[in-house]
Amino acid sequence: MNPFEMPINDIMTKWLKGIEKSREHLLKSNEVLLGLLDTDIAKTPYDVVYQEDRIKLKHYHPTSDKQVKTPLLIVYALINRETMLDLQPGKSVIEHFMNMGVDVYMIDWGYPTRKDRYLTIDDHVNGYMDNVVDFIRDRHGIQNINLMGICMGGTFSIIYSALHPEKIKNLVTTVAPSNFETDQGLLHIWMKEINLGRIIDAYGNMPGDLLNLCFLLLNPARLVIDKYISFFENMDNKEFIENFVRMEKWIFDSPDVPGETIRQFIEDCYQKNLLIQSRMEVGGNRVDLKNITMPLLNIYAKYDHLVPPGACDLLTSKVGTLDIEDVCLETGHIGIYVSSKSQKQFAPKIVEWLKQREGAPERASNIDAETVPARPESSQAALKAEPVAERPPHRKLRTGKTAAASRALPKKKKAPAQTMASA
Amino acid sequence: MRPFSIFRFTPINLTRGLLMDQSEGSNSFPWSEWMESAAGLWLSAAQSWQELSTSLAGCSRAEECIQASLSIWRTFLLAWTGVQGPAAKESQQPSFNMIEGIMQVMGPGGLSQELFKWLWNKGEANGHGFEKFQHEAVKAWTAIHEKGIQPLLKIPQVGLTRVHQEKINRLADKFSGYQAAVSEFQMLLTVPMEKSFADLKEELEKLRQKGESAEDFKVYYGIWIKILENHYMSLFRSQEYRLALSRLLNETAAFRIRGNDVLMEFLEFLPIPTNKEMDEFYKELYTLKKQTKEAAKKISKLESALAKKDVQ
Repeated sequence: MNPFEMPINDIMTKWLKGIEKSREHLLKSNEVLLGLLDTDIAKTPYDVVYQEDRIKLKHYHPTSDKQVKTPLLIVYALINRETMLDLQPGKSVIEHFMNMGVDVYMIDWGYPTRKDRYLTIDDHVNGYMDNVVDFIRDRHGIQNINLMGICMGGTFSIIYSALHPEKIKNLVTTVAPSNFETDQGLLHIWMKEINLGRIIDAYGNMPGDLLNLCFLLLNPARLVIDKYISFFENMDNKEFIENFVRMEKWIFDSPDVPGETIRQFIEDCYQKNLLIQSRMEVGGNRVDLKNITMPLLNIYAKYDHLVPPGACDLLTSKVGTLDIEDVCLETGHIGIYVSSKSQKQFAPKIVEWLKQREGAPERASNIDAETVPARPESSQAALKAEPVAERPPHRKLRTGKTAAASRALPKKKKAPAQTMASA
Repeated sequence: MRPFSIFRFTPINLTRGLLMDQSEGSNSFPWSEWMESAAGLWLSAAQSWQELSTSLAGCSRAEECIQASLSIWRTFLLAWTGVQGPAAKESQQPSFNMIEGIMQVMGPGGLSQELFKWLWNKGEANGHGFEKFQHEAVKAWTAIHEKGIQPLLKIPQVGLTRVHQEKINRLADKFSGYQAAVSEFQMLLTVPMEKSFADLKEELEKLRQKGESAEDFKVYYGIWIKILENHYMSLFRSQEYRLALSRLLNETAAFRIRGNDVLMEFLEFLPIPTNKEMDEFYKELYTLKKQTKEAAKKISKLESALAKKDVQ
């Protein structure tokens, strides 16, 4: 007798019993799936206040009294869409910010086409991002704004803040990779040996579907099998199905990534790890992290399989400010923005941190002239033409109520990340 | 005519609705006839098989299998197409047959059970083969390609069509490499699956020896998915996987580039621009836009500086 015959027969018998029981489940599922489902995403109203090429700037008006007067610009990654921050009412980071009195702007990178294949990181950071920041500064009549970057958008925000520190009052990075020399995440391992340059040559841009396939392959047992088993098990649960479909809509809404941008990102960051060493060059300028002199809040996720903690937690020890704080949330790369537990921690933490620094003088004056990175001649000429005489005199300032992690440190020393357990 | 109500958007009922409408002389869609004839073909094939099975006197096991399979497929086809008597049409809810069909496929003697048994046996046969995985099939195909097909594709081409023929040959060559890389990658992805079934069997045997048995099937599923996840993680961190992934991406890119070369040959005969031409145009457009934006920025800043100067 096959020794395994008994277990398999046992399993099959129980499984079949379960199937008999699930008749009701199937009938109810039928009703749910064929009924009206609310699966729209990004429902929070906004105005498009600025547009350039494929880029749009969304403006969300605060729904309560402004608690943070300085507007917050959110820069999402070029991979997937910024709609993740506004998946559904009640589970929307944007909505939380609005309800807590923050004036929120968010860049929508749009859908790059083949004509965008030559756009570089420089075009995104020193072009689109800089234009958007200038637009917001002009609109509000202020010298600098709060900047929050997400994932690859966080990396862009780090680069931007190092190149244009005078325009950023506070920097918030969330699951933003800055150190790529880690073996915690599979992407970091794979990218070392894989040459995506040929794919970019062949396709022009990096196809969104190909990226999605790679992400699914990071954990096929969970993302290809278990996730859909869960779907079938919960087909009779309307709320579950609505949430599931919203997430599916977001996950597989994947724009292609401009070819030259992703090429530089992979080569300079994943393969050479230049950013954290302050050796990366963007638009002919070296990105020196010491130029990041504004307060920095660095949030990452403990169970992030795409941007693991090891890819994030070095940043605060490399920047030029003493006002730093690391926060490690006990969740994953997406869960940090969408899970019910993180919703109670993530946005409130950022708002509180920004409020504590709201009283600080505008930071255009915080930068010593020599700390501003060298610019191409044309940009320097342009800077000279700016009405700098109206700004307060230059002086070094490390201000704002510093968070516990850094407050007591006379010289910068890496403090352990503050871990926020799930509520 | 019976209203479709909420069921009208399902493929089953759409098809059924179309078939019904057609028979009733309204709204005929072009493919409803095709669906009906396809279903008819399968049902008549099923009937022939049934007749064949009756001639297998004495082969009781074979007969049982054929009968069971036919029964499943008949139910499924009927559910899918709605091809059945008018009385049955009127008496049943439109989606009910689908559920019945699914229940039969999933239920005792159904296909899922056969699939499960097959996977189980695969696990028994090859479950521990991860480290010893030899990629025989892939290697055989690669050898056939390299020794038999590739030299033929590299025979020097001559004459007026030389350039075109060489491009086509290069595409055929790259297609072969692409196919080999895809096969190798797919085979690699099946290894954790096989190994997980072998490990699951061991786990279950341990449970059986201890006299433990879970009431809920989900418990066994939970054990299996965790094992599977661990095996995938081991695979993904292996050098073997990285090489296979790298090869897959390189071969995909090479095949795509050669495919584009051939496609452009054809496009040049048509009055439409090729990607190569468009890329040249996009490059120029990109450069011009960048220069224009920089110039506009400079002008704007100079203007504002001049305005300030005037005010002072």
